[in-house]
Amino acid sequence: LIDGGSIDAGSIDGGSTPASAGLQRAPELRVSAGIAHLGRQIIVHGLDLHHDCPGMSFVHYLLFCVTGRWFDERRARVFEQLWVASAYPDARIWCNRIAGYMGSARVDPGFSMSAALAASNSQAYGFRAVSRAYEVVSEVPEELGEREAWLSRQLEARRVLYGYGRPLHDLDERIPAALQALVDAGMRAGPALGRAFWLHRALGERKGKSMNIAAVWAAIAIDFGVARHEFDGFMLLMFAPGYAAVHADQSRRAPMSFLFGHQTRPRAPDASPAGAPPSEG
Amino acid sequence: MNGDILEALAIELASERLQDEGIEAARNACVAGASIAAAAITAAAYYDNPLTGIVALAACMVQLGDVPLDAESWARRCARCPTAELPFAPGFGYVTLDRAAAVADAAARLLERARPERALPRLGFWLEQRQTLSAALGPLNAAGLAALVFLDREVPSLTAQRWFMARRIEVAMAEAELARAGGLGDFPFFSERHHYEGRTPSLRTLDLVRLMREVGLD
Repeated sequence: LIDGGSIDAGSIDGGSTPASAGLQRAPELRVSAGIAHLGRQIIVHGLDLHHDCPGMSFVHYLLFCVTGRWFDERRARVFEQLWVASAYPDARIWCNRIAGYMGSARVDPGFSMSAALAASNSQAYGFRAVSRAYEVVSEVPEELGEREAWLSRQLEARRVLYGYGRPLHDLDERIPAALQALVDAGMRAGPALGRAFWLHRALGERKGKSMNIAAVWAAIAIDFGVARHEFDGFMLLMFAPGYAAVHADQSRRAPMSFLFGHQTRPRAPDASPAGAPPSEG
Repeated sequence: MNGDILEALAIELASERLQDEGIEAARNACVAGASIAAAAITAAAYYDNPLTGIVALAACMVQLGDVPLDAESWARRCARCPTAELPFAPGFGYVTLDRAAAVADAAARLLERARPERALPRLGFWLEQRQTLSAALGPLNAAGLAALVFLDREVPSLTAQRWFMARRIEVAMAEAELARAGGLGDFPFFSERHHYEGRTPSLRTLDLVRLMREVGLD
């Protein structure tokens, strides 16, 4: 099945030949990521999981699973450090707060993780913004002479440049940590990271704005050869330790004690989402 | 007939006064711009909780399904949920005073609506014995309110759980849409009172200029 092979359409629908007429053929999964021959061998992108992969870190293995490509230890280690440096166990962060509510209500940790992860898939912060940052960084022209004109076009179009927009004095503390990861791995900045920092400087001069970590993550991924759709699939679990920490913290406290009774109602004056209670009588 | 009273219950559960931490969690899910799918997932997860969610609802229905309508029997049966880690009566407690009052008001309206048929005996009993039962079991919460209506109308447990979950998700999504429209500017984000109880290590900094030089970004 993994090696593939051609199957004509008639054999797929199972009903086009007299012999198979009226019979329902079992559905077929066509896969390339891997297969589990239970009790014998587990194959992941052509490697034997239990013999070829045990030395990999979890982040390295996830990267391998998502891309199907083997990244060297140094690059995997950089990603590992980026992830560790970004998982904040602060319950005030919107997605972590969800985990806090879940822990406090004694919701199953798996459901809690799912909810926090879903909430992280957001536009202002979170993974959609991170994905857009990849788009921005990848568009910055390689030629230095073309960059100013490119930036002028973006600003004239009033485009939101994801990965940028913090006040200049407000350094994202994850950026030096990311560069430290490169230093620790004995690596230099690649061309995409160079372009990302060029845009950081240019926006600082023109708009007084600076980059945030999303631009750095995106640039490093581009430099490491991770495609955008791979980046989107790979980065998803990076905040998970934060969710888990907050959930565990609140699970240990009195039930329902997390922001109990607090309601934020950013509603329009006439908004009544699902109907008002009926009048008496 | 059940449709009528369940519709009324749905309206009660959607009221602003009965919005709880699950609804607030769903607002969090969308306030930074996530799809309402995130609110639905969040609400589904939250209302699976054993304290005020469908686990409590189902447990309450089991506990009170065959109990005679006298306060002592209710208190004895509900004093502790045998399936829960915590000593609490499913369907009761974990509700603010305001919300408990809203639940009681909702119960009264539902009973009034059903009164010609006298078809909500458990709910009516709870209202009659509210002071005594609240002292013994804690105030009725939204899951408890729904459980009593479901028992009185002989709604099967699985149907009841599905119905309750779906109604809460519906409200959560609507509230989350409003939160998303309001945006983070209208939402607390690193602005709440916050008290960290753990150890604080000494402050160390990374030198960005040096690091930029080391990786060739200078």
